[in-house]
Amino acid sequence: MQFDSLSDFIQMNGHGVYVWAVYFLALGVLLLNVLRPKMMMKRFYKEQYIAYTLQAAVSNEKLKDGSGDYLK
Amino acid sequence: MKFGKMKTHRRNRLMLVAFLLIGSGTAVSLTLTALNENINLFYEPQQIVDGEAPIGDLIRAGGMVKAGSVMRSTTDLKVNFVITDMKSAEVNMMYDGILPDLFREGQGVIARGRLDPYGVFVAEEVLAKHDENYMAPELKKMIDAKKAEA
Amino acid sequence: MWNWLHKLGSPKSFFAISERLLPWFGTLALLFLSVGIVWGLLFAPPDYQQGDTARIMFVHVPASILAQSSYMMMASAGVVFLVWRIKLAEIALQCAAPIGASLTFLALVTGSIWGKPMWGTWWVWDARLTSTLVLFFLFMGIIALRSAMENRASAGRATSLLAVVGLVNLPIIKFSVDWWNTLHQSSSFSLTQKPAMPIEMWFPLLLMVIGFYFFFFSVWMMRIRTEVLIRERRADWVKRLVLTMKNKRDMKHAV
Repeated sequence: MQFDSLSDFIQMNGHGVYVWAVYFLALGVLLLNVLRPKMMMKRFYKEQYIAYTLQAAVSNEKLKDGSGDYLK
Repeated sequence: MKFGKMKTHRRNRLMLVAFLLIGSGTAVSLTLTALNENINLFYEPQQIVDGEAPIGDLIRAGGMVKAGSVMRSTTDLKVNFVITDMKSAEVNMMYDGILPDLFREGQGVIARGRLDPYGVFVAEEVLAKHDENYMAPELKKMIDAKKAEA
Repeated sequence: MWNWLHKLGSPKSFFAISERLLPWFGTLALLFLSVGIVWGLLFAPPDYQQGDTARIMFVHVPASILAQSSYMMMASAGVVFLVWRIKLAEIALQCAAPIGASLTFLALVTGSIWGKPMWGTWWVWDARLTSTLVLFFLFMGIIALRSAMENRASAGRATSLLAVVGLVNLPIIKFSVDWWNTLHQSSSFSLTQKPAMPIEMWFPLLLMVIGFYFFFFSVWMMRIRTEVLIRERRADWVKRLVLTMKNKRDMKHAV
């Protein structure tokens, strides 16, 4: 361990602002890189689920009376 | 990868990509060679001694701070020092301002300023250049102690 | 080998293979990065000149290495797409660009934050810094080009060409510190040469570099997987996949 106390660790001999800014920025950039694709994946599943069930409904409709073509 | 068996259109496309890469590579390296002097961030002490650096223009000069050459004014921030290429060339520097943390004798600096007609470089800004070596403070102390013994 | 590559080239089997790889890559990334960060911040010695500011190295160096590596991988995907017209390669190229851009941004900004206390300036137009900025613009250019073009096939070709031409910048970044006078120091971290730092600094740095590689591959795979689903949304296997994931808990697992 290079530091004797928590405040030493935070201050880093007066360079704390620079060191911590770098580490928090890195954390933010890495986190965004994980969250963004997760969000896109989730949205895809949600939207596509609706699209497929809608499609299924439309084709059922079509089987019954031949209407619903305009939705395609 | 068997090029002989590759379909002709694929081989053609691969050649095209290779030519593209070689072509742009050649173009860029020619440009960089032509611009070589302008890409250098600073003049080295030898170039300044040889008179390659323009006098009176805003330029950058870089070198090592000569050990024992730093003279600070007792009343203001003015400081004089000598930069060297560790061989023979030396340039006198004058600066009035706050020096960066890493400014030390034996360390590299890059100064922006103007060369006066007497060959003294009047700096407006001094940056510290760090070398690629990192060392723990204890180790440095040990090495210095060994050197002192010898 | 060729069979295996061909299998990987098909979007469907990529989706299946990456599903098995992703948890491993993600876990390893997390492991290496967290050990590396704790080691770098708490246990690595300070530098005798720079003091604790040297700890910025554990973020700045891996970010810079990955910024260049990710460009290399992106451009390789571009070559594969240009020559073999494999759809997945084009998807991989589009997906690498935003990650590469963010890592280059991280390298530039952390370098700037490091430069202020040590060099005495946030920025200097030296060859290393400028060529890295060009790398950032190349990544942004690929993102912009992709979104500006409607037609997917021609967008794929255009972005691949740009990526391949931009490869010229990589040796310039690498050798800039040797070819020209720069404020930036030359490379301290190398696997092949004796490192210019004590082992107590070199080892956590190595962990961080490996961690960044695993991280890059993880998030790259995640992006490619999403893009594969979007483009194959009319295929039966995607339809089946989506319909079996209807409740939210399943959805979380899928991601």
